[in-house]
Amino acid sequence: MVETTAVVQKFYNDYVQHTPKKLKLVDIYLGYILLTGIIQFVYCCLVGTFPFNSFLSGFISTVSCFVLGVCLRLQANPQNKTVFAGISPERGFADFIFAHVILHLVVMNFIG
Amino acid sequence: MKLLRNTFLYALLVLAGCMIFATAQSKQKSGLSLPEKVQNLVEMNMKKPVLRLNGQKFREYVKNAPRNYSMIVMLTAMAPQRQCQICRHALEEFTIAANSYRFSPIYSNKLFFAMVDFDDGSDVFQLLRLNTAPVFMHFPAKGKPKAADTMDIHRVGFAADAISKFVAERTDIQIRIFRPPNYSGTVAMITLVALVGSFLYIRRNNLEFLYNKNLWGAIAVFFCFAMISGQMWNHIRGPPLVHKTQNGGVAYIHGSSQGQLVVETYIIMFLNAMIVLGMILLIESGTLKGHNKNRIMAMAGLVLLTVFFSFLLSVFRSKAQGYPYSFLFK
Amino acid sequence: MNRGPKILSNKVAGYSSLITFAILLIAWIAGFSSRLFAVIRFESIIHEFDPWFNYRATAYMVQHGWYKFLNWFDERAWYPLGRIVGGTVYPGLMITSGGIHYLLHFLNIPVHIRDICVFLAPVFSGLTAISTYLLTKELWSPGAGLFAASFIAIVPGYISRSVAGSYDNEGIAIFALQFTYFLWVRSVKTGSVFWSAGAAISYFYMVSAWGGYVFIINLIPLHVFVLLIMGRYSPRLLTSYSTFYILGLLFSMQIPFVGFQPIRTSEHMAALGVFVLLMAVATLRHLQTVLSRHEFRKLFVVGGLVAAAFVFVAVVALTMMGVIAPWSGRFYSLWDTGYAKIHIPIIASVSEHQPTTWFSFFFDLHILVCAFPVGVWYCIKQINDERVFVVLYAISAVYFAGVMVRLMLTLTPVVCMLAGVAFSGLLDVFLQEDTSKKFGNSAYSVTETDENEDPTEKKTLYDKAGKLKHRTKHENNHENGISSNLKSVVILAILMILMMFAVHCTWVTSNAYSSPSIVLAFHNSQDGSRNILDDFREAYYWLSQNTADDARIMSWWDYGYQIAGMANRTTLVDNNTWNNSHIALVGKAMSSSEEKSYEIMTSLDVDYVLVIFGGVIGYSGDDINKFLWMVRIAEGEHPKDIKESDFFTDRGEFRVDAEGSPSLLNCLMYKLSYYRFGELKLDYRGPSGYDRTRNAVIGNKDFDLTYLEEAYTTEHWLVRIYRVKKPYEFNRPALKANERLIPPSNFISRKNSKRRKGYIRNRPSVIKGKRTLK
Repeated sequence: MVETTAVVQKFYNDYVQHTPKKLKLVDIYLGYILLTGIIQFVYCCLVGTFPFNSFLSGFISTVSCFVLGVCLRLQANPQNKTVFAGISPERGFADFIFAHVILHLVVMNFIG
Repeated sequence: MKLLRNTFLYALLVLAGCMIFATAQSKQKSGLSLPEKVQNLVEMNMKKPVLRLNGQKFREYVKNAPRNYSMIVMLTAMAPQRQCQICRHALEEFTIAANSYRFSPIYSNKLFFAMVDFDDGSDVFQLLRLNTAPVFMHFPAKGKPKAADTMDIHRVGFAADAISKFVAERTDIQIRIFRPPNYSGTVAMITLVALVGSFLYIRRNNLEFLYNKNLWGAIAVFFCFAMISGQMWNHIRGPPLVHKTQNGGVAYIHGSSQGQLVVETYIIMFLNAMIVLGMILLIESGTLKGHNKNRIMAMAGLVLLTVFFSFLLSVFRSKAQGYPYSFLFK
Repeated sequence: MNRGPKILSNKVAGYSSLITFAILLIAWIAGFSSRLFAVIRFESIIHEFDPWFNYRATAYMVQHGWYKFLNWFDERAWYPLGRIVGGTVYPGLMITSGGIHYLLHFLNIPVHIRDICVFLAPVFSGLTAISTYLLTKELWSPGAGLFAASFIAIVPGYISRSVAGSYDNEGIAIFALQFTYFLWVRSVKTGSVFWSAGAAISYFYMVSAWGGYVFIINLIPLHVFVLLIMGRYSPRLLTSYSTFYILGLLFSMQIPFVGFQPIRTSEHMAALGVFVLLMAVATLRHLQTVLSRHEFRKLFVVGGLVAAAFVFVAVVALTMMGVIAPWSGRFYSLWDTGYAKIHIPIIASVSEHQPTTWFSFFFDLHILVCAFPVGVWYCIKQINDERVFVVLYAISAVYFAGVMVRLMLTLTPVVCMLAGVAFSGLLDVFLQEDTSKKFGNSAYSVTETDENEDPTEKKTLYDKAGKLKHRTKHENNHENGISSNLKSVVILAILMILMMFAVHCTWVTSNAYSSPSIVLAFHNSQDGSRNILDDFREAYYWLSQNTADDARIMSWWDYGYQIAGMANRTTLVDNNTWNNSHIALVGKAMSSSEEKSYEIMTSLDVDYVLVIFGGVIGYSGDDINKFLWMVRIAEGEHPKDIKESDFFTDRGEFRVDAEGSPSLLNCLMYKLSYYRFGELKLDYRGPSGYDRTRNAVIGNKDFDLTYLEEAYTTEHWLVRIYRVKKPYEFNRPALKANERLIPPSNFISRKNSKRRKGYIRNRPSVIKGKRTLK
């Protein structure tokens, strides 16, 4: 147990010191999305699933925003440049916007 | 007068003797009464779900009145010298049906399952004028069995479901077939997984063989061959190995395009494998270094490819009526 | 040295794209024209059965608009139940045709919707060829891509479901399938969210088009899973799969027919499981970069095992609890092949669901099926992320095609691709000439050098043939030992084989897959002329002209769509077969005697009965040949009334002649098929009433119909229509005993001698000359 707390502490320190600002911004955004998703899920468990399609569209919307945020973070991280050859962070951001546009169009259709 | 009296006495005596004899005979013949018969049957059924009858018991319980129960009788020949392969399978299915009935909530003393073996009761076979086995017959409570009371095995088979359908048709008693769960599949699966796991664990330091591309390539290609040559059709339909043609010869290839024989699939698998080998040799001959081997490989590959493709095409031609094309030979 | 080759390579690049464009255009034209046999021989008409429903739905959509179509409740099918069309159909096909119709009319080009429907599939076959080219180019090389595109344009396995006139889902679904796979492979290679989102949109189109989208949503997770097992995880994989999955999930639920199935049924659970697993692996890998090896190991082992076990147990528990529905019967029967025969006889009765013989494989694919294991071998030998995908696709497709004939269609694209790889590899070796003539030879080799110059670190992952080109550039003295004569012979042999392939495809298309099946034709052996039997359309036209608009037609479910499409009348059961009990009721009506079936017909409000009878021309697909299936399906629901064994003779044969069973000779189907047939002599030498299909003289010849009357019989007696008489048409109304106004009294016969009618009691006997005595 003590080892795990020490590990987590080390992880946290490392994170605060070494990650660039852009990535921290994306991480805050991801945290916010996660919170929204958890709130929606808890609400659904408490109140019931009617209308189911609205719940699904809202929940999947949070999950997909989270996923797209993670992808953006991966593509914007300068350490990953060799893995994502040919995709600059700007291209990553443009893809992110494109995916969000079609995502929200469909979410609005699905929410009923 | 005296003569008359004597003859009268004699006649009375003879008549009495006859009567006693007759009653004695009938006593033997009618034997048990109905409740006794039912009681005996139920007791025998307690011990075994399929009652085994010999000739005498058959006559007593199945043929003779009084009866208020129906009997489903299987007439079979189980002895090895009778050489009846399907009798064994039929008996298994019959036992499953009888067991399902025996332990179901609708079990009553209105229906019993019995079997008669040829060696125990050959007179029964003669009585019913049967000379094949197995035969399933239903003897109703009242009246003689009709033509429809013999189950038509050629049409519906002798699976337990077919037997229960036959029983439902003739007696309106619906039997739900309960097959004892077959754990052999699960056990086999578990042993396989355990074997593979232990094998991997033993060789965990040297797992190089898993990365061997040739091995995986060979497995994949072999699987493709098996599927392409129609093994799934064989697995589902269960065709014969070869079949005899009208003029007595043996045909390895099924005549029409709708069916296939087991030997035929192996032939096709071989032809496909040769064609693939030919093509691989051709390609490899171009990418390896070294003079002489390349030439030989290329020629061998070409010959394999063209010859076996022509073979395949000619086999295809023989099955497809009206196909006009051929490659090297018809 | 630098400028020369560059200018030359630009010029050659121009030539190569010209050649590519030309070859793809020729493939499109070849594919289009090879599908036109039926249109040239007969006319431009919708074929078979299912396309008629699709056509009717498209016509409805074009006429009434999109929203009315989505909410359409069809009360002219499955009378009296009706059918919710909007929620039980895959709308992609109708949307595509409707869209093209709208576009053309917007440009003021008046094309009738029927012509668009007939020619949609051939047009899309060209698009399929192009997407196959793109996919194979991603996997191997442009040369292989061109081969694959040409193969798929003419291969019979694909043509069988996409001839002109076969207006069915598969025509556009194969295009959507290939295009989705191309976008997926592209996204795995680049790791870009744009391509993954594109793949999700293409997947949405596929979900709207065909029920076979389940194949995509199981193959792609399988691919990701195998890559994880092989240790080929990379952040690109994470980006592409997670985006594709989550967007695809949301998009697929927009189709009303699919609804909430993607999160409820077992068929979609694999995708969800792999998604969760991938997220877990990604987190662990990320932690691994931050923490040290020792600390990481502890977390990894414990965490990984716990996560995997948790996911597995959760899925199993949810399935058992019923929250997740188990595998549906259609898909389960692919795994357990004996399942359908015992439990779902309707699935077992369709001929397309039978297993495949090797003959069908060779018939549909010819040399490609022999060359395709070569492609598998080379893809495994030179493995990379994308080739894992195509190997998995090949293995799963070949298994499913072996189990069910209908799924040969999903095998065809991958066979074309891998055979293209094989032939391309072969020709690469043998077309390669001496280096002095290098720049003048085939475009394939040069485009490969172009391709190989950019990502240098990926050189080890691409195919060897390209590398070889590099080497021959520098080592032009090395002769690899095959004389050019041998090379020419080999090239000649391969060209001949490929020509035989093309000829075979055309022959198969022309003979086997080009019959519209609504119009029959046969050739006279004497003078070679062609007789056309247009009985079906004749009968449906008669129906549409001579019956009331709301008349209800009872027939077997095979013809439901055609009746609804061509005759525009209400039907009782049709090819959708969604309600087995209703079909069983129709089957019971057909196999009972005339009195019993009259009761059923009046309860269902039937006006006309339609049967197909092939005894006059020897057509073997008629209703008497299908009769046993009617009996079986009816017996499944009404086991006490209908017994299959009643319709066989004592010896277990199915005979229609005098030895046939009495139940068969008196059932409604028999009577409707053979009414007045006993008086018909087909041949002046033979007996009357000789059934050409069963080759027997029928048993029950002279009978009359009490409850029906014959309305119409077509020219060759193929379709027979009968009208059901209403109760008031009989001589006496059929009143049941408790409905009579005058209750039946206890009738005493007056026919004994004392009280006979017309008999005078105590009648004096008169003798001439004497007084009457008392």
